[in-house]
Amino acid sequence: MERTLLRFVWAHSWRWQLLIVLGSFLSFPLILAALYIPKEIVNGALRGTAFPKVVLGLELEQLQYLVALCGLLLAMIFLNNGVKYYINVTKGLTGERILRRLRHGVFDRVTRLPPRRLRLTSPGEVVQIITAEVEPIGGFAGEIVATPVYQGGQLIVYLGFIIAQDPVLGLAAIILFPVQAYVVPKVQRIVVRLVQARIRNIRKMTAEISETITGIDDMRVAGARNWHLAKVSDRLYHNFRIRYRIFLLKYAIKFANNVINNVTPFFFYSFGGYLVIKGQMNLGALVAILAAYKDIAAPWRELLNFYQTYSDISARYDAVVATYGGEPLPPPAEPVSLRDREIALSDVSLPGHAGLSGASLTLKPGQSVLVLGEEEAGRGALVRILAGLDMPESGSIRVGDQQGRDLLVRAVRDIAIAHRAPHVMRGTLRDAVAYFVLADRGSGPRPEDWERREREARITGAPPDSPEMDWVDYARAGVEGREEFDSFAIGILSLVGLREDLFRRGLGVVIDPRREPVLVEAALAARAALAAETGDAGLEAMIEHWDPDRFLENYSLGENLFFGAPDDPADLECFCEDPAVRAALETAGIAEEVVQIGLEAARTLQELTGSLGPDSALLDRIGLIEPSERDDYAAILLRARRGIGRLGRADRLDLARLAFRLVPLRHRLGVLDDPARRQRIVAARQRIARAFRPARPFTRFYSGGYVPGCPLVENILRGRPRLDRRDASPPIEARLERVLDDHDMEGFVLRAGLGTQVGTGGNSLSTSQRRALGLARALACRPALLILDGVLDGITEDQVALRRDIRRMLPDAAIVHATDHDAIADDVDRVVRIAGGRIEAADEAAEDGAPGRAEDAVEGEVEP
Amino acid sequence: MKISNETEILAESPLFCRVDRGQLKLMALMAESRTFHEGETLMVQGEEGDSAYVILEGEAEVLVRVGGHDTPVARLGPRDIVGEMALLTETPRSATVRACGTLRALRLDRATLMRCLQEFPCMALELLKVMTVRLERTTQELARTRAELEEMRAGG
Repeated sequence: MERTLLRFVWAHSWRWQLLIVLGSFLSFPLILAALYIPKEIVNGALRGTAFPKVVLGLELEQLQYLVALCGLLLAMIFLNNGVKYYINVTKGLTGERILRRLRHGVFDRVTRLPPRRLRLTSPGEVVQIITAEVEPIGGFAGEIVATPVYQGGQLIVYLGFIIAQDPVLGLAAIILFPVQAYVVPKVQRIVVRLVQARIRNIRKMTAEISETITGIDDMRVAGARNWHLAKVSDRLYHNFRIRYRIFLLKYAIKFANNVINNVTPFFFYSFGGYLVIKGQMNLGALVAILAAYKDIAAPWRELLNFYQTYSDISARYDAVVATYGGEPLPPPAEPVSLRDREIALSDVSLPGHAGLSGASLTLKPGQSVLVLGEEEAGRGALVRILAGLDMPESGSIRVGDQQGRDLLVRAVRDIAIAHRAPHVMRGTLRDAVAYFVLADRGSGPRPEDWERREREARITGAPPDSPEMDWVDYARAGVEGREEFDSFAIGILSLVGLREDLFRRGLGVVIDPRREPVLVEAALAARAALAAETGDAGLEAMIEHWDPDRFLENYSLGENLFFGAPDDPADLECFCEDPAVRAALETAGIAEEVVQIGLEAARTLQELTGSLGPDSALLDRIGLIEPSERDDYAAILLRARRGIGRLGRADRLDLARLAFRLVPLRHRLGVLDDPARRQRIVAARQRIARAFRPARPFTRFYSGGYVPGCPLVENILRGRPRLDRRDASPPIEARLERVLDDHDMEGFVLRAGLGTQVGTGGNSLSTSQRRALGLARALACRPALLILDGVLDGITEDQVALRRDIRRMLPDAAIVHATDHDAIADDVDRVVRIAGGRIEAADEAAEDGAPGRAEDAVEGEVEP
Repeated sequence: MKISNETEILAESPLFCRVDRGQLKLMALMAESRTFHEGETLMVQGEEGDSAYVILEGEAEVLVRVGGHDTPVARLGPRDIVGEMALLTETPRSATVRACGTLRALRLDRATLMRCLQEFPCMALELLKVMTVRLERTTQELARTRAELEEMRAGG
């Protein structure tokens, strides 16, 4: 990054800066003209007498001359403001582009910093720098050349003009400028130091805030809230102190400037006046000095203001450069391939706490090595070197016949690591698997505004690719394209034991049929297959089917009446408000009963929850009414005492809404248990079907087609899994999977599962699921060197089988198991023991012999 | 079945018999109703659990694995509660419970019970009393068994 703000801005925007300067000078004569024309209108056109006037060879009478001047004035106004507009837009554009470049540049550098350096950085600090700290630079970048040039130019012109006329007068007008030029920077230097202190303080505060939020659970458990509050409060106090001192100084500078600017005329009046009275100076000269000073003072003030702002903003830039822009970063190095090549570390060291010293190790393709030791005893450091995260500070690394300490750092594409706490990025499960096989650039369909994107990217030094494009490098995963990758991802997730979770997630997906026509087709085929299936009576008993002639206990009253669902699940919440819905209820003659059901439910709920506090969490759990609505329903119940028929429209709507939400098996309020009432509801269903003209897309159960508002599982089952059979074993998902598997049809559910979101940081997954996902994505890139750090180091049947599967999938990969216990020592080719930052024992036999199993002659940990 | 009936059954269960009727209703409201068929398990010994069941209808048998075989040790019927230890501690299930015929039960999860206890401290107190009585009985039984063991050893 450029060392100073001015250099940075100039290097990346000199063309526009020149345009802005040019525009500024262009506007100067226009401003003068706009001032001169009104004078000419008064003096020439209105007071003038010598008509007709000849202008550009045309003879103009007085009125014509006035019209011509006014027309010219209007043109000047438009032109002048047009130029101003152009300058402002160019300034803004320049600022925004500089800001984008700076932000992107900082982020780019942060992501390229050596990991050891980055470990000292808090995420909050980076966010603060990229978002808040550099923001004012964008607003200022457009001014940075134009203002000093324009104002300075004005100053020089005026000064030159006056000095040319009378050198003494000119010098008298600027007599106090040197004082200001000396004092202001002195004070400003203190301000800059304070600005830098403020930036450091705020960075620390953001770091503290982000740390608190990350560990909020622990903070609550520890009851440490006040301590955290005190820390932030302390930062805020310092911030206040610094800001207070800054504005004291700023206003002090302003005060001094104002005084000096006004003291100069004071001298003129007093001394000049004295001289005039004494007859040593004539009055005209004094008036001229005063006028000249007025002209000069304005640009001078602007220049001083500019200087203050510049040093302020510049201090921000310097703070950014000092943090992330200082050291030169090597350009992205050429990748190194590890395929079928031997990796040899010799005498490598990584100093520091929990470091490593003088370690030598050779990894052959197809070999598996157990690195045994405590993480702090050097195992962690060795893993980081092998994974290419840290470069050893001494020693050498050889890959095949290539030598260089940075070889592993450059081989990231062929290395994968799975550890106990992988960070899963927000996105779908598919994205999570694809994370290790991302390409350098997006491909596939480009966004609509591609040309503009690309131009802006070129101007600001950023990549134009949108994350919406296809970023998967299918070749690295060894597959042909998207479809095949999905199957590949499902295969890998199944391998690591996530198949069942994938299936469960897939069942719960609500699909937009327009976007996923293939899934819909598969679901309908599965539905048909399942309908023909009679093998699993147990499964049938777990489902409540969409039977048009029966009351459904697992569906809400609304769903029972309209026997369908809005295509957009979001519409369900306000379904009741739809006039078409109300009209259909009226036509079917069931509207009154719905309100009655709502009333009974509200009454029962009130009886049950009457003793609860005002913001009880229990109400939330029941989920029928919001805690905030409780008083509303209590008021409705009061009003209903006078008779249900006398309730107003709004009350009836509220009651109907409550009634519509009731699911008999879940809520068990007893208001939908009466067989006669159920009969009436089922009977109304037919009439509603005939009368209902939905305003928003709505699909009926058993229209034979796909019901977009229902999750995949209900579409496959033609009904809902019974709520009261949820704890049955085996669960419905397992039974369903077995049946679909028999028909070879479970693939589409798994595919749907691939598209489900994992949440920020994978928070919709359990720790063990995240760990499995971490392993899956490491396998997805078919690494030449796979490092399993603290995972998959047990000897349960599943783990042994998974290790075998991994070896089958990656026959030529070197696999490093790093762990602190030797349970799998019999399962690997070699064992390397680490303690106290040194490799204590590693067999050297394998280096001479063929890759494969070898004995550790020194310690004898490995059974052949 | 609706909540008022369920509440009656809850009220007859020893654990909840002293809890206020209104509060029991609330608990029933937040519990979930479950059906198990012949041979299905409510819980399996050794597995993690976060819920308890109050049997409403039907019967279940409690099985403890001894030497690789599931041995029936008790039979449960309506009003019996099972798996309540899991509500308070996070220990694995100490026995397997299997439905004999169709069984209807109320499922209480840990969150529900914890919220109820927070909401109504007197319920926590009642629960404490019941648990204390049980602990006392167990301690006495333990002491008696120990004494018997000592006697046998002395005798043998």
